[in-house]
Amino acid sequence: MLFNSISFAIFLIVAFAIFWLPALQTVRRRNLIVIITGSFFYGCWDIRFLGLLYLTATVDFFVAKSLEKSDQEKKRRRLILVSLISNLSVLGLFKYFNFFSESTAQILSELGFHPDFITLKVVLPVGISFYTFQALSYTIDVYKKRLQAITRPDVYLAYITFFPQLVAGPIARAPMLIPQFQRLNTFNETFAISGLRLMLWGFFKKSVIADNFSVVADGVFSGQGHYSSSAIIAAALAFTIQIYCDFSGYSDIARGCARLFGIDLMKNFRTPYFANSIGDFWRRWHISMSGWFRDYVYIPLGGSKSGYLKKSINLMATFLLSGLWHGAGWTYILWGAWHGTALITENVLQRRTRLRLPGLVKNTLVLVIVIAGWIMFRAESVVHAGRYYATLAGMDHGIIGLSDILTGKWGSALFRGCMVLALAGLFIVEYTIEKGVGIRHFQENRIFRWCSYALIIVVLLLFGVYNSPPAFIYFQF
Amino acid sequence: MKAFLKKVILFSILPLGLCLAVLFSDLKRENAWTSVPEDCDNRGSWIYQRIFTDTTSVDIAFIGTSRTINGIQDTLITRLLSDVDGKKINVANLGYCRFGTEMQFLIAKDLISKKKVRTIVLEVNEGLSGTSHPIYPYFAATEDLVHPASLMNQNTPSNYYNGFLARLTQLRATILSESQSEGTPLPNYGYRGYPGTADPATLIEPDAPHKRELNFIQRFDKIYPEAWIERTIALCRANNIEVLFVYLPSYHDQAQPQEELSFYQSHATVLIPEQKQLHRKSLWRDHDHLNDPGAQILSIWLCEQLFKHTELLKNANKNTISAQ
Repeated sequence: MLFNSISFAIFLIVAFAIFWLPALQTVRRRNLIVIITGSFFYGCWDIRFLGLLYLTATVDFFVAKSLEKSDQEKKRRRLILVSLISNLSVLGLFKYFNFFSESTAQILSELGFHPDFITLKVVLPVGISFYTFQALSYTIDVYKKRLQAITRPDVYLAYITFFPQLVAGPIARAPMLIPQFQRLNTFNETFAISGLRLMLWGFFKKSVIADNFSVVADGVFSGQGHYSSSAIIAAALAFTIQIYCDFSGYSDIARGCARLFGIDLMKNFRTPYFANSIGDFWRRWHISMSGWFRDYVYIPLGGSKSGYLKKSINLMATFLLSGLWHGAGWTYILWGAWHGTALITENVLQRRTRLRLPGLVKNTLVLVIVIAGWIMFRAESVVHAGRYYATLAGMDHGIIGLSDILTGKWGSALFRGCMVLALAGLFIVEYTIEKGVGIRHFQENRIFRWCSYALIIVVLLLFGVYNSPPAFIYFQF
Repeated sequence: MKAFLKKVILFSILPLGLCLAVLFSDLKRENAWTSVPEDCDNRGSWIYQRIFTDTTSVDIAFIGTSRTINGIQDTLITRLLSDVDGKKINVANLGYCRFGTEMQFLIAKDLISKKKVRTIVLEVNEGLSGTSHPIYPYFAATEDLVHPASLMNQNTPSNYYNGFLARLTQLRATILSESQSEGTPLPNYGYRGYPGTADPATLIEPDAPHKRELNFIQRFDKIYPEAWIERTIALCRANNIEVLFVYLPSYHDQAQPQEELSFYQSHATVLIPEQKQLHRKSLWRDHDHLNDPGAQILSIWLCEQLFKHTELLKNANKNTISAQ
């Protein structure tokens, strides 16, 4: 059930109506509705995965309760190991087993050995990386005594199964989300309307921008054909726009949906393409994931406390794991390595030189590094990515040019002009958010606000992709 | 909450109004028939071409599913009928893949609007289903999409949505000055033959003849397809067009439709091929479709039946058909 589908719209209306029924105005009943709607939503993808979700949730719930009761460090360590192993083994089995099995077989065959490795014919459960990390953050926080274990299963299951953030985040942190399921929220009109506004903006980013730009990116990065450097640059730019609008659009819709139920989810993006350093980029991009890796991987590894070399190693390890988290493939690992290297280099330059660059130059440099990384991220394989980089470096010449990929609706100058205008609209909104201006004006001026809504609706109708729309990119992770 | 709902309703007026305006906008017939070129080997484009741009007349039209496409050799029937009758009688195979009596109505309606047809032969089957043809909302004119008869099927919401998408695509194409027609139409006539023979193991023998006692849901399921058959017949009668039914079973189906026969017979003559004619494994391409030899036998038999049952051919010399 995709957010941009009619079935989801019907589901959301029904869930909203039931949730706010006067007869269900107790915390327990509300949580029950959250669990039922979340289970239905998740079960619509594949009912079998629901069992997996409940299995890990049950283990984590009881592990956390036992952790709360126990003061013996040895026992607590054993308990947290149970949680880590159960969550990570499920993740490893479903997401990484085939990748490691095939990679090992390939390496050994290169060395002249031909062992028989098995691969599993399993489908990747949607959102497994997201809910596993969310569950882990809870047990780790209880282990670290940053959080008290929940005694009520309805609260814990509502925290895990709350549908807006179940399949692609934001990866909610227990201290922020759990208290919201422990109290009885009253309906807040302003909050709900801000949710609808977020949803509208999210749909604009997804259906109008991401889905239309995906046509250009998918054509080139499908791995078929020999593209020229201009076509690859256009596709890389298109993917840069697509992935941001796709994922931040999803996050806006998720946060907007949550607000309809009186729940506040954390912000996942803060105008990342305005970042003036790689470090800054990662404080703005997929904030819930980068924060998770910072708190549960980078800091436990030692963070920046144990000298510069150790810090660099920790950074690289964190980014490699972050790349692997995105997908079981070498392209993702190398993408993580690319960002790790960029961040370490940035730290070296900041320490060793007194070079002060203008803001726009820094923005541009960061954007170039990020776009170069997206090529690796999007490529079908490392070999394909290598070919794209070789073409861009002038070592190879493709035969399919820019004009060849701008076909279909992209062949129309009017359509391209409309897409440029849509991007300009996105840029203006992002810029006002970045500079902290305009939002108040938007909220105070009713005519301006309603005209904006009308314009977005007309644009959504005329340029949104509704015929077999692509799924959200991050649903595959 | 009340204030919130009021604002949401107020907010929804514009998008809902725009969506309804798009849904009720007129869908050009060319845009409709050419809108799904990837379906049924772009047969929609061919049907459009045959009805709207090809000036060849259509005297007898066969309208049905892929069983019609693979079973009715319209060129052979045209030749046989013309030779026997002494004047040119054009037969067109206007089958479209998959079941759906509303699709038969759409084809008949457009055909009647453009050609002076004398006889329409509608394919009928066993076990009419209450689901809509998946491509129907893309091809249907607005008045048919929102016709009350369209409501009685399980796909009504998705039909409205897909009908809306078809019109939205047309609107966008108009604004962006794009051509919606894609793909290459099929050359000439509608029969598509296959010389091969099915693996005998895949052909399942029919069960012993039996008539099911239909429960409420099964009876309800038949309302929708029967309503469209009745609409098609009414349309034909209003235009003085003769209607015949031809029963085209799969290899597994009964020799005659068990549940629907009386319904069919109450509206028109039902042509039912004798089981011994076609129930040979060498005549089938797969479980559902005849191969070339099977289609040839069926088509020759149909010629004989057309001479017997159609007003158009009643005065022709019927004795010569078998000899030819």
